[in-house]
Amino acid sequence: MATGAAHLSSSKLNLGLLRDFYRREFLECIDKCLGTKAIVWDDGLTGPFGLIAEYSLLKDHEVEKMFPLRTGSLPPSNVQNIVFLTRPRLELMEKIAQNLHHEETKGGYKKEFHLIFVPRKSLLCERKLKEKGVYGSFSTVEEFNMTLIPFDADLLSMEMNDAFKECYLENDFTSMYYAAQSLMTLQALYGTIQYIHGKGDCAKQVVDMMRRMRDEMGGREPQVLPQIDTLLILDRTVDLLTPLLYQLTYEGLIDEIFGINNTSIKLPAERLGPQPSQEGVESKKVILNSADTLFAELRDKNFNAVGSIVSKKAKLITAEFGERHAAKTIGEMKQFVSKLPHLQATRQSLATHTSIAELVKECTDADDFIDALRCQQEFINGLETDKVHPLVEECIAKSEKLSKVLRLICIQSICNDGLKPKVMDFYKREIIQTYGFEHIVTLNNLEKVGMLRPHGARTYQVIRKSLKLIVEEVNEQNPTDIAYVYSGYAPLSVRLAQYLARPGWRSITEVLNLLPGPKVEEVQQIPAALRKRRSSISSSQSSTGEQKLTLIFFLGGVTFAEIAALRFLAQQDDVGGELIVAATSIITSDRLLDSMGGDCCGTMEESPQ
Amino acid sequence: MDADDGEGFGDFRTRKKNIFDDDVSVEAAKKIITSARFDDDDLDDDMEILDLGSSTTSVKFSAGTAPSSKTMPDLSSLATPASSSVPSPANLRINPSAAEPRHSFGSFQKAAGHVRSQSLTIAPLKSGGDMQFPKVNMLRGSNTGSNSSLTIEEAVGTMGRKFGSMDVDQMQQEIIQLRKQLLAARKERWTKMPVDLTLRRIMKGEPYSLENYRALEDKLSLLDKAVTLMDGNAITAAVLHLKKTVKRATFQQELMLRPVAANHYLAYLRGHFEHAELIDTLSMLGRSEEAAIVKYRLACSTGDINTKVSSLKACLRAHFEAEPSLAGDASLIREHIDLLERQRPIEDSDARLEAEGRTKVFLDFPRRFALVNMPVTTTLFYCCLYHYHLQENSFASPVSIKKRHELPERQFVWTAVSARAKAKGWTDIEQLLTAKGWFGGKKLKAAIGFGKVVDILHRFQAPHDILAKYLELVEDLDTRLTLAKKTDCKKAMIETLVKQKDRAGVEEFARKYSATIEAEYARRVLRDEAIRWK
Repeated sequence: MATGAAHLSSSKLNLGLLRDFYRREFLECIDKCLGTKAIVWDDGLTGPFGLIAEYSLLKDHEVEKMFPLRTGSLPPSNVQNIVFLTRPRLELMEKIAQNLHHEETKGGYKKEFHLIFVPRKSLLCERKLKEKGVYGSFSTVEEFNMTLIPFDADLLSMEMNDAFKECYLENDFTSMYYAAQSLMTLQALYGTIQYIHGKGDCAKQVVDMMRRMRDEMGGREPQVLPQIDTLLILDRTVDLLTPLLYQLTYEGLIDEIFGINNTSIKLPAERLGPQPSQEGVESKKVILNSADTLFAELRDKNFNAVGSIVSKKAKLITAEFGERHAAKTIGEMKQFVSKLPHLQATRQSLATHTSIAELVKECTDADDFIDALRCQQEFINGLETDKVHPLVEECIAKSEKLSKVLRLICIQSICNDGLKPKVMDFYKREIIQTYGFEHIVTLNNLEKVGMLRPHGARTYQVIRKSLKLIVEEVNEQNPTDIAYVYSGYAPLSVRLAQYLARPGWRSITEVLNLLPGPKVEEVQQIPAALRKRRSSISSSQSSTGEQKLTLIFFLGGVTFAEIAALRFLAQQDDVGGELIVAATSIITSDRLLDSMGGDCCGTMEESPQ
Repeated sequence: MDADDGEGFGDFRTRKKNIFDDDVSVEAAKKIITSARFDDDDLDDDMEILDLGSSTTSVKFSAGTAPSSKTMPDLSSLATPASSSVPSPANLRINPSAAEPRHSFGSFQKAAGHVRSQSLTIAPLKSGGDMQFPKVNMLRGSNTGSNSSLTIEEAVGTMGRKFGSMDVDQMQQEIIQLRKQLLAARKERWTKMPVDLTLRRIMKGEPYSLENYRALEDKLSLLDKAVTLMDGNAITAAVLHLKKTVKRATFQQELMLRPVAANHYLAYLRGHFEHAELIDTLSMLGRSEEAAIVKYRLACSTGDINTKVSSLKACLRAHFEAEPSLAGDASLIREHIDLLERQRPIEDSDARLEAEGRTKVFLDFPRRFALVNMPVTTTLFYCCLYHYHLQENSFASPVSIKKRHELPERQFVWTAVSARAKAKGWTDIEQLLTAKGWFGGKKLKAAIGFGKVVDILHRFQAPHDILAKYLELVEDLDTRLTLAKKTDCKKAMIETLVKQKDRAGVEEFARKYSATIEAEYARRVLRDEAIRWK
């Protein structure tokens, strides 16, 4: 059943199981309406659903048409059922109501309407539909509880890009409920997680909700051998600095520059080498996951190390292709031919990644990128943070992208423990004057979530020193510390995970107290029958059996550079055990800051200069 | 939980029985009975329809099948040969029985829809009743439904399978099950369920009703319990129930004591665009800053410029000026208003001039956008481009904009140079950058540094002699050389190399550009013995 998802099952925890689970549930859900059907998709769901099912599968289940959810009327179709698949968002309810109104005035062949909320029904949305007078038109209103989408063998995402904004700006903790629910689903599939650690307000909330949900099950706990030992839940507010910094790993840079959307990117077709591309196709989709072995190797490397690996691989593959000349006997020939498909696939992937790396290099070699990076390095080292930085001023004067300006200012603010009033006022005025008065709201929002704040107690320096966030002399080719992912800065969030694994959080109590939000620790009892027998008959396999598995859940999003650092940690002997990363979404600085904009600002018109 | 439940029922029983109490008069008892009877009837009807509505799914199999069998009249002939092992009479026997309920229920289905919309208008909070339909389907679907639906699908579809007696049994079982559910629902309808149970129902998306929580303490305990459970749906439901059923003052008072509940209420208001109530509630909760921002946002999203200005003014008066902590923002808002009021007349007159098509500058540089709603620096750029030479007392004068919005010198220079460069007003740039030195002496000075000036000029394709003039003023020689190379200003390149005493550099230049006039100059420089090379 798990077609095209072999890469999900390559780690210790088989996430293919989760995918199959969702797949089954989804088919069951749509099979409930009989006859031919058209699915109307909320745009935000097509990507995630693409990862669990494919169109041919839906066709087998009588899905004849697929439409995007738009305002106005639905395209004509003669199916028996129309199924709306949507997230519980009020603005989408408007669209659905419009669609239904149009359908009803159209008359003609009678259709049945169904509504499926992903991941959960919402009282507010249902009320909205009732207000619009269309709720009664639905034959069924259901929910399909898909929250955590498996992206890779060690990566899960809820794809809720607004989770951070909703929690910290609007005090709307719905996404935390989903997070807790998704953790319950994981526990149902992979067994109860014994140890839970967390840091931050939301982490506490999630743990509390999990406890409540567990109580509600009233002893009907999953009788599954626990596979995950420890769960670490981290709030994004604990470490706001890391996501703002320029990611310097291969995958991180790709995400920053092109934006990875549900593990795939779109690239300009003419840049992808001499592949036969059809006329008129401007962009080509490239899927980025560990099914591509070359990418699996490259993704977490510092970008400076990518070039040499690619060229080494290129030599290797040329040599392997050369073997056919050496093949004398038929046996050798046969062996070569059997390798051929693999070789060709590798060559193809090599070509793709060479092109991508070239595109990325164009950006990283540009003056503005280098300048911004230099400015960032100064800030995180605590230099020049207390005055107006000339680069920021210049970026504003040039009307560069607002998200870039805000990014630098926020980094400065965090590294300086808040900006001095004079500096803050200067930046504020310049931004408002150049990008528009409406950004009073944006700046206000940034202050609310703490990315921008007035000068306060000095904590950054203490945290920086005691957690060794700044590492001089990083080896980008053969790293020895997680700091390689930001060329000299070790992400705070990942350091916390590292200290938790060894020697334990007790050793950094003081630092933890400086970070916002409460610390959470909880032990969930596991029925005796399911407990791991630490030293028993299976001790012969203890070397592998004792490997601990930790799940790290980021509330408010995680960056690819952090994921890379965590993967690096998992490979180190001194930490031991495997890591699985889950998050409300994969974020970049741009995505995070864009979500902070007031909704009236819309898209900034580029300035006429 | 169980104990609670029992207590709830206990309550119910005593309430029902109390008509036989001694202190109840016969008339009163009669009244109670009749009214209860009436209620029951009412309820029965309601439930009947509910029942039909919820059983639509079980009937829906036929609803799904019937049309397709009509459109494909020779279905049986298609199906029979495909699986000849199943006797065709079975097919014939089942079809009518499946189709029959559909026809008889057809009218009820409509009625059900009607009642649904009715319950909407009468009491939106009775949503519990509405939610019953989908939920029942869902429950059914998860255990038996999907199974039987599949077989029917196969029977009607291409697979050619037929109904068996199993299917009929299953349907009958379902009918029994639904009846049980109906009875249970009927019983619960007027019972005050324990708060915990109701909340759990809300959280699980099951039908529930809040209308039995009549006393204030019941409503509040519902709300408080919901808050401790941290379920958004439940909190919102409890807050809205409270709001609907108590006096406004009480509601506000209780909300102030419960910040979490208040947040959920605010989210609800935001989602439903009930801005007035949102702003009121925020102010009431003492969150005046947020209220001010909401109001400001609202004012900003106004399309019409005149309305926008007046609503901004109202917002300024009502929120920003009233709150001392918002003084900083208040001055920004004042600036915003001034900017809009400045843009309005400029836009009006310029749009007219452009339409007339007689003003040269608008022909040379057609306006690409309307000025209104543009940021300050863009406005400045615009005015430098079209109205650079106006007196300071004019609305469109760049200097007056600079003064009003307290633009820093650097920002002003940057924008003005860019705009004049676009207009090819090289002399304006020179004038702009000329500072009066001591004793009336003149000197070129640029707040942004001449390097940036060259950058800007290059971007607007300034001629080489202009570029060279400013390149000379770049103090750092390395920077000057880089800029000269970037702008392809060959003469400046040679001169800089000479200044750096870099003979090899000049030689290389002469080789590289051997065919140009500048190469001749380079060779001449190389022959010049007065220069001391490194």
